[in-house]
Amino acid sequence: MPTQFYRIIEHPADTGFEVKGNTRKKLFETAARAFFDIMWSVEHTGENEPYSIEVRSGDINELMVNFLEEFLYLFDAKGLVSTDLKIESFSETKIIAKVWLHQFNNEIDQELLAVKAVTYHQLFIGRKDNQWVARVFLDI
Amino acid sequence: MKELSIHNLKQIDQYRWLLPRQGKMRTDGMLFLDRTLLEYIKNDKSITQVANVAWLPGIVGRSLAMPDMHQGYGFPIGGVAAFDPEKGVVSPGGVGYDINCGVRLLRSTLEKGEIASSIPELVESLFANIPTGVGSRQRHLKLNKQELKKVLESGAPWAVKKGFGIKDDLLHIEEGGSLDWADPGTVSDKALDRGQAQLGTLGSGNHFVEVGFVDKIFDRKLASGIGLFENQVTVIIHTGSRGLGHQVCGDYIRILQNASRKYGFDLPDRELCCAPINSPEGKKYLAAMAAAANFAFANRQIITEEVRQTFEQVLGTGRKKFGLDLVYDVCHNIAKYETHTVDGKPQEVVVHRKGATRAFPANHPKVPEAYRETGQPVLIPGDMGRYSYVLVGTEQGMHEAFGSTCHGAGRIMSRHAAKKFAKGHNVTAELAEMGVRVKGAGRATLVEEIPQAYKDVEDVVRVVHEAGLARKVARLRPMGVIKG
Repeated sequence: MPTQFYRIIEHPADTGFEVKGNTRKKLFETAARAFFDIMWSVEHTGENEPYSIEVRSGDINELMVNFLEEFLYLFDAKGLVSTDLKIESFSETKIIAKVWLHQFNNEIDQELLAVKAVTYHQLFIGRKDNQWVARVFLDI
Repeated sequence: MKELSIHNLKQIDQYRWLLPRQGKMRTDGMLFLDRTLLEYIKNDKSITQVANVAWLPGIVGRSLAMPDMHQGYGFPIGGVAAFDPEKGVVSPGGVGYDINCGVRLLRSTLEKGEIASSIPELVESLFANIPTGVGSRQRHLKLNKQELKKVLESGAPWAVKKGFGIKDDLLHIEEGGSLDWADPGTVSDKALDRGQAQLGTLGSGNHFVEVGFVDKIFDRKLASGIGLFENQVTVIIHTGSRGLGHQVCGDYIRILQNASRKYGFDLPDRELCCAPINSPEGKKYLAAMAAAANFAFANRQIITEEVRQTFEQVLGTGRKKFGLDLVYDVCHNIAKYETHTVDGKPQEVVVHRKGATRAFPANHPKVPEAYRETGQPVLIPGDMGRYSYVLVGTEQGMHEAFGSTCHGAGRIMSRHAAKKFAKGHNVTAELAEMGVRVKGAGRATLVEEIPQAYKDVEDVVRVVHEAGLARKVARLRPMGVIKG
């Protein structure tokens, strides 16, 4: 995947990003990868067992927030960095995905951005130029 | 609500800008700014956010913005608003993700010359003893969930009971370091998971511990009243409720979005989701928020003890020789039940302060005995290279702003712009030239937090002082800083 698969949206108090995808499933996968890239720089450890996550919500906006928050939770509560993912089932209110995780190592790995939360602030998920577009702002 | 701009404001005097009620606003907005500070917000959405807050049901008085205002989530940062407990609402967007993020100030009996040569070792040792950085974990304090719930129920008194600090500390914390309506049963397992290893840790971003000194006194009588003198060594601790608070906020934004629909609130921004204070959802949020606030009080209390132990270790003397008594601890992201005079009568309201600090005047019953004559001390940290301020609350602030003032300098550069600006600069060396020894968990944080990324806090403090919301007492300069 090219390095510029997302666009950072700048503001003094916020950090946001924009991603695109041909399908909503692809859009969500790309958003998660952008989120990983913004948050961490990790030395890849090779093969590791994927972990299953299931995220539910009331609508697609909430789904995006809950989905990205899940990776934040895994890091904050368990010290696990998500390195890759595959969405296995997608609907507007539910995602089942496999996530590849890596135990964060203070000596080698880097924390790039201290994200407190994924917000609804100016959150956008919609169609633009025949593509799905998502804009997400993070509380730092 | 259409986007509002500075053209919607009506200048009242040099420091006051009225945002007249319009559209669905239930009340006026009032912004405390001078022309310099107004320039900083002219391109963000914070004026619209002041109007959005004025739209919320049961708002009492005006929707206020302190001089360090800028765009936030839901409320603007620097936003203050009070709500009627019977007819009003509570909103997580009026508190923020870092529930009870706050600042505490310690004063030593030493003068700066007595520790100048120990600063490098103090900084190294503070960094070694206080877990810092994103996802930092406490190695020495293992809590099971049952014990963690006791922390959430009690706050700073739990920490003191466990040997972190002394009982006297509790007299110098807003609300005694404990919100008694906290209910740990309203906090999710996920939030508990995130908090379990993070009590007694600093975290990242703009959180810090700073060893500094009093470099300027503006009012000798007030300074002496709160135990400050020129060249005195001080310590500032700035942190909050860590991942636990962030999760509580996120959880209740989800719950209160449903509640907003249930109660038929027509909201201009999803982050302003809310519930009636007296509804089951509103009560639950307030109970969970208070639990997270108690976690933050305990967190700062534990770090205080770690600071005192580090001073003992480095200076090789007992703490009676250096003091480090707690001056005061203030919250700057909180919603609380307080009594204020509304239309000439005392009324209980729920005051939301989002990036704003309580600043109660002399003789107020909530101000500790020691400060009855001076007013409540308020700590306004600046960036890591320049200075911070100590102020006290005033009657005018009580009358005009529910006893509130600003909370900091506020960023002017995005994190990306700060990185770009700092390219080719050795931030640590440049700060050392300014007389500040800095150690951070990662270069990224240090670069993002360069002094140039922030407004000069003096500009903000000047406005609160001149507008009469708080009164300048002293200025502190940093000597050594640890950052997350």
